[in-house]
Amino acid sequence: MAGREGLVDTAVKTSRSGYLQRCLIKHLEGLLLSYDMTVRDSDGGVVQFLYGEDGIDINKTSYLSQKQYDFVVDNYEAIAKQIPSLERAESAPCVRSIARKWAKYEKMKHKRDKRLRKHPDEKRTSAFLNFSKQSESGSQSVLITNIKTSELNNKTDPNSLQRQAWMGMEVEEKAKFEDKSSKLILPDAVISQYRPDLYFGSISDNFYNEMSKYVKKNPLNLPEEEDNKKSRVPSLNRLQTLLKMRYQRSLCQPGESVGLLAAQSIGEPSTQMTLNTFHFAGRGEMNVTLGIPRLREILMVASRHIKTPQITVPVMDHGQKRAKRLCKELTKVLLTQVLHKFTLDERLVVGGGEHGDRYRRCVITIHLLPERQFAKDLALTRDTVLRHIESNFFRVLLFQIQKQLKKRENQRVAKDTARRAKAGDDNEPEVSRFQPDSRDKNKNTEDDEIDEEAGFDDGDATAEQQRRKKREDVDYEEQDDELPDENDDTVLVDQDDTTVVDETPMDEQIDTEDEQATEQIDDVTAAIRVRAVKNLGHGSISIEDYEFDTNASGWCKVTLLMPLTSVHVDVVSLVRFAASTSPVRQVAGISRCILVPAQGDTNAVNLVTEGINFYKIFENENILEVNKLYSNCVHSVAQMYGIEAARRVVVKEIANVFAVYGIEVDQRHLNLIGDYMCYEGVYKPFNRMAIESCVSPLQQMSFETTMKFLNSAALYGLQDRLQSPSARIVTGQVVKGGTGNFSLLCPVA
Amino acid sequence: KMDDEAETYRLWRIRKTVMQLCHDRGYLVTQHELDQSLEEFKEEFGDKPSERRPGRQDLTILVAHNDDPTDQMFVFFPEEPKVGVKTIKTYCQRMQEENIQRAIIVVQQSMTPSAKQSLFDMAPKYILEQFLEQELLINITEHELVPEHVVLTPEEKSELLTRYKLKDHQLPRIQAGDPVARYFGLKRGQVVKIVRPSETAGRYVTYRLVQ
Repeated sequence: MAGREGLVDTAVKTSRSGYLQRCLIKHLEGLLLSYDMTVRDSDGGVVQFLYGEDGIDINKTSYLSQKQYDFVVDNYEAIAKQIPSLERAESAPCVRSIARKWAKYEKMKHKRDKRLRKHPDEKRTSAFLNFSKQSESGSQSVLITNIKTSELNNKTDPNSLQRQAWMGMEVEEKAKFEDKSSKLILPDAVISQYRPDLYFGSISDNFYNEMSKYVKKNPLNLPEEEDNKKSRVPSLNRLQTLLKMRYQRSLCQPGESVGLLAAQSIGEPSTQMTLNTFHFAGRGEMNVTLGIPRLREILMVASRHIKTPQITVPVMDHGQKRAKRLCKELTKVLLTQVLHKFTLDERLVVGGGEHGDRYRRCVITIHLLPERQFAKDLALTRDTVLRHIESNFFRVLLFQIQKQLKKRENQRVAKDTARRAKAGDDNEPEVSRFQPDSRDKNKNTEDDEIDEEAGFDDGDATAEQQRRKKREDVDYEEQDDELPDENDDTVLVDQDDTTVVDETPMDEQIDTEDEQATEQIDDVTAAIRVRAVKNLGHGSISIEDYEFDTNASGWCKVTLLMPLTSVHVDVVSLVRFAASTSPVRQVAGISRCILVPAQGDTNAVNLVTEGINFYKIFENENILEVNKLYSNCVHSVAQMYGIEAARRVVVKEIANVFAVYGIEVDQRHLNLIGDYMCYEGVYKPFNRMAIESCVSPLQQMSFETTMKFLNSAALYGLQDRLQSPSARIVTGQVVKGGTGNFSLLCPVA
Repeated sequence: KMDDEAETYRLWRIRKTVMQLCHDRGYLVTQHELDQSLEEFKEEFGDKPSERRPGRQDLTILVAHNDDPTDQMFVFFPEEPKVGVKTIKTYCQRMQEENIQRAIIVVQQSMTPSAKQSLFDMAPKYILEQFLEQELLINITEHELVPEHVVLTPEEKSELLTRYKLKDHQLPRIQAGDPVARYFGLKRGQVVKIVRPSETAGRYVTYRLVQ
């Protein structure tokens, strides 16, 4: 990037990331850490039950890393001196019950791991399943005397017998099967049962596991038990106490404005990201939106249709071959990809026929590429392509021609009236050619992009320009009958003249080769197909004749009859347009599909689709690891897998955006943002639509569209309890964060 | 013939997921029913869906709840791709006859709007839920991104609310139409406990109120 461009870029991007940060802050400003260690919004709603999921202050996380353990041992005396209550903490009443919980946790974890190793498929357990298993193996004698006959289950069905027997059993009998069934379920996390600030020894699972790993390894050969009080090294027990103490001391303090911290922790690094929006991920394979545009997509717009949706699924080892085929089948194929050439012979016919005395006759001949050129890459046969042309392509083409005819006619009328009006009144504005169309397009793109400042619209403006250009391409006037074309050099256009078809000798050779390979289409089916095509006539256009290559499906020839009107449409460009838009094969939602080697593992392969269609993936669950599927589209995941999965995707996607630039944002900030966005059970963005669910009208007003929120607050008589920071500043009070979180009660003398 | 094979496979997958769903809701499902292999399925129901062996009807399931045997649930598989009111009526009649309040309808393609409406009208006396076949090809709760959801009893819920001094509306929420909520057949006002794997803590417990 050139220097000047870089400067412009920096100037432009500051406003973007600035606005992003403002949006985050206005939403998150009310999130405080309460005295019960929960993170709550200013209306008291619990966003997180424990800040950052482990309650630790992010600034103090480094004190708890495993590297610090040796330091604690080395400086034992100094640290112990700092903590006078060490003995008291060790003998606190809660310590023993918590220790018991940890022992249970360890035991259950061990059992569970063992069981999962033994029966990896049995994910479900219950008392009844245990009973069922035993009775199947015959060790449990099933005695059923009285079976209610049901039309569903006949008498000998063992499943219903088991159910009947189970229902007839006493509670105590059932309980015998119960204890074995709990093997798979770990006891609740200790930290979720005991508040870590009140109960000494209530630490996170992760910290506990790390600590016990260290204790087991004991790299410094610490003594098991304390020998004498004045020892210079701590015993293992004493070390654990110290570490637990550290954990408790590293907890986040009540009153902390954790929301603001999270907002700033996202906002600040986003200023560092360059505006380069599109990168090629991996080895130039899939296009993904990155940088600020992606952040805006995730955080501020939460759009249902993201720019580059994709699904990634690991392929099972045994399914790699079939995955390759699946890939081809999922990829969209356009007619242009298999088209060799097409010719058009357009004539004016005068007199005779049932179509009036003057009409236009177009003969379009379509030649396909030899099958061997595409059959392997696209997993298609010429026959299917030809059938697609008959059933789909012609329909699209006729529709397009009809549309153009109508549009041209309207334009002509509009022009005439405009000219007439101009003659009478010069001030009358002229009707623009493309206006109605471009307005339509705008309407479509507008509904999911809610708030875009003027700057962001330039993306749309270029898109609009491109659209116009494309349209113009189709619309070009008849005098320039041969346009240079990038896609298809072989189009031969011959207007108002006899057709000249240059078939290369190579082609003919191939055709004869194909003849032997493909079976001939018998006359009856051919006749049916021809008749079907002839019936396709649309509006004023009819199909006079249709022929096709019954031997090798290499070509087809259709004759169109069009009314002769004062306007003329360019059929060549319409055929070209229809061929480049009508897919021969397409899976709904998916446009492309490739196999990408997975990171790390050399053999593993991921299937990546551009576009989203979960059900298509599910249908291939025998070769794809469906349960490890990942998609970058939060809305689709929420719809398919629920809000909890969507929250994970939000967190992961934000982290990914920063990871590309080598920036790491603490997981706790991202978790908070994910939890906030999914608080209401739906994926809610940081914008002015979403702030409507905020309970403080003053906070709403201080964000955007003040009058709107003021109006509705006045209209509905809303109250502001003056708890949110914005509301308190508006009314000149101390914000309830940090040291403003509590008030002092003084006895009146 | 190829279609038959694929269709049988499909039906087997769907039935398997339905069985898991029933089990996870607390209904009595035997180990055999959970583990049924494709071969066993073919043996039991046949492998020619095009000749109605099995017809969708044959797959109908009736299960009883572990805690309360009178709480029974039907799983219907309508034959027609687009389910109309008429089918729903016949199912309701059957439920009335057998005195069963709950049913799941596994729809092949879609349900007519009036049929959907009739499901709403039937509630709360008869609770009919609809699932699409393609949704049940896999079990979404087994996906690695979906954490464990456990439904709280009313006592556990009130204990939670007193512990954190909360009112209902101060809990995080989950929509009643959320796929996981539908899987467990959650009702408005229930609370689910969610045990997430956590990068920072190992495990983290949160709760959501069904809305």
